[in-house]
Amino acid sequence: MNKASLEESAASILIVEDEKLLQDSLAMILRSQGYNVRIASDGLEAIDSLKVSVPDLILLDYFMPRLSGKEFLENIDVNDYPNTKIVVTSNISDQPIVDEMLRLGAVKYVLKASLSPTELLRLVDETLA
Amino acid sequence: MTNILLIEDNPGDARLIVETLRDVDDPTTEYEITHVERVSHALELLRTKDGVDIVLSDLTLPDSRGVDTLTALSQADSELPVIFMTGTNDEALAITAMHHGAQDYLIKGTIDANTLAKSLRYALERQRFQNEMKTILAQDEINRQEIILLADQKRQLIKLNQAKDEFISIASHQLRTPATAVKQYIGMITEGFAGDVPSTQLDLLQRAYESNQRELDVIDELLKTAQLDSSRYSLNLSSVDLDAFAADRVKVLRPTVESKRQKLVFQPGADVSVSIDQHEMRLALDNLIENASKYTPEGRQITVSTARTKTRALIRVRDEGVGIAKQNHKLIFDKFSRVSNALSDTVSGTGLGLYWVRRIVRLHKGTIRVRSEPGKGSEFVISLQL
Repeated sequence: MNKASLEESAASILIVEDEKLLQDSLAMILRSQGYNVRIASDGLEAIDSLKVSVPDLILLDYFMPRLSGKEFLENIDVNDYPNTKIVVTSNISDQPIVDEMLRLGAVKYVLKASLSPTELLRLVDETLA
Repeated sequence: MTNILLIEDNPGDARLIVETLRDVDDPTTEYEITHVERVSHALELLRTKDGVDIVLSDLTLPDSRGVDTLTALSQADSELPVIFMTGTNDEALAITAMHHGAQDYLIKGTIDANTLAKSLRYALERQRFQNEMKTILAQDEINRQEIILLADQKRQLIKLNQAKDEFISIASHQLRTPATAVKQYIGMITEGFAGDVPSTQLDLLQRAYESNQRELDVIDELLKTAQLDSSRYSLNLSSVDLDAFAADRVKVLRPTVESKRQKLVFQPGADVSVSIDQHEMRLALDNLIENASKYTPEGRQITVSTARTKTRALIRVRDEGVGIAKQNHKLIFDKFSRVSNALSDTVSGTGLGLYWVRRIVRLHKGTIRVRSEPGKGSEFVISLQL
């Protein structure tokens, strides 16, 4: 099991995901390691959430109602959040979409389906390191 | 034989025409005249009797005149040529009739055998020509309609194909989400996020996890297939040293192959740059090497080699495996095809790998060939244009 250290546990993560089951599983896995987790159900809620507090990491889904992951990135200025890493967790792997999201400011693009709990934590650790 | 229908209410004029025609000396045809006095009679005749070749009609009849006569006759037979006979005072009317499709008009009192014969011959010829033109134009219109129809059908097929691609793509994404949730929840249990689990239960959960993982893999494979099939898919080409490219794949795959106690050997020999989509070609070459490994017994060798000819670059993957029967050489590249051989029961797969390889190679405008016999191993050769 991948126990994050206490200092790392203080990190805050915003999960932007419209699928309730995945919101819960991602949150449970991350909270189990002490991460401070907030949830937004789409890009619009994510923008609202940023006004309240700025996380260290955003796990951003691509396909979402109202405001998609791409539209979220288009509607914020990533330069306003220099200490926030954005990782796209999507269920589509089309290369043009991957390229576009990286261009818009995401640091990584991973396929959600490739993430077991341990792999998710490794991804988060590596990204925050 | 030319059958003339003469419509003339004046018996004197009618007789004159009949006699004039008798004087015509035309070696190519003879004239047969049927004489009626009214348009209504003429129409009746056209309804009941076939074989009228041409109408010679007085311009002014008791029951019709000029253009009306023409209209009535053309309704009965649209391809029938009509020549009018008129007095000098009616010439304007005759010209109007010509504009409406009459072939000619003759002025009474000036009609001799020659004029009449010539007029008849020209009228028949012109009508024949007009009829042919009409047929050609009609055919042309049919062709035009067919072209429009074909273009329309093609558009529909493209649309349908795109809809199919999109359906597979969307369906796959939709399938991935719940399977991803299953993966994470079972993963939380098996990876200890929810406390200790007895090993017997852990074993069962592990199987569920693996089965779910298999499902996710199949979804990936379907998506990849839809992507390669999509008419909108295009390669991302770059210039690559072929030997270095192949060497890299051998290096990456060697641990897996060696874990199955097989040898993986690389023999560079191309010394040439090729323009390829590295991501896709990697997938193609990996598939060939992994396939070779799947169907090769322990202790045997898999050889990857490159070569070039004047115009082509070649990548070969040769194994010492079970081989492929000749009748299956084409089949193995089909979508979802799995042929039976000595090892097929122990090897799993959806039968998409070689389909991808061929699609990818063809997208590169290259070819893929297989040489193989049961028991004598297989050799797959990708050939790319330089």
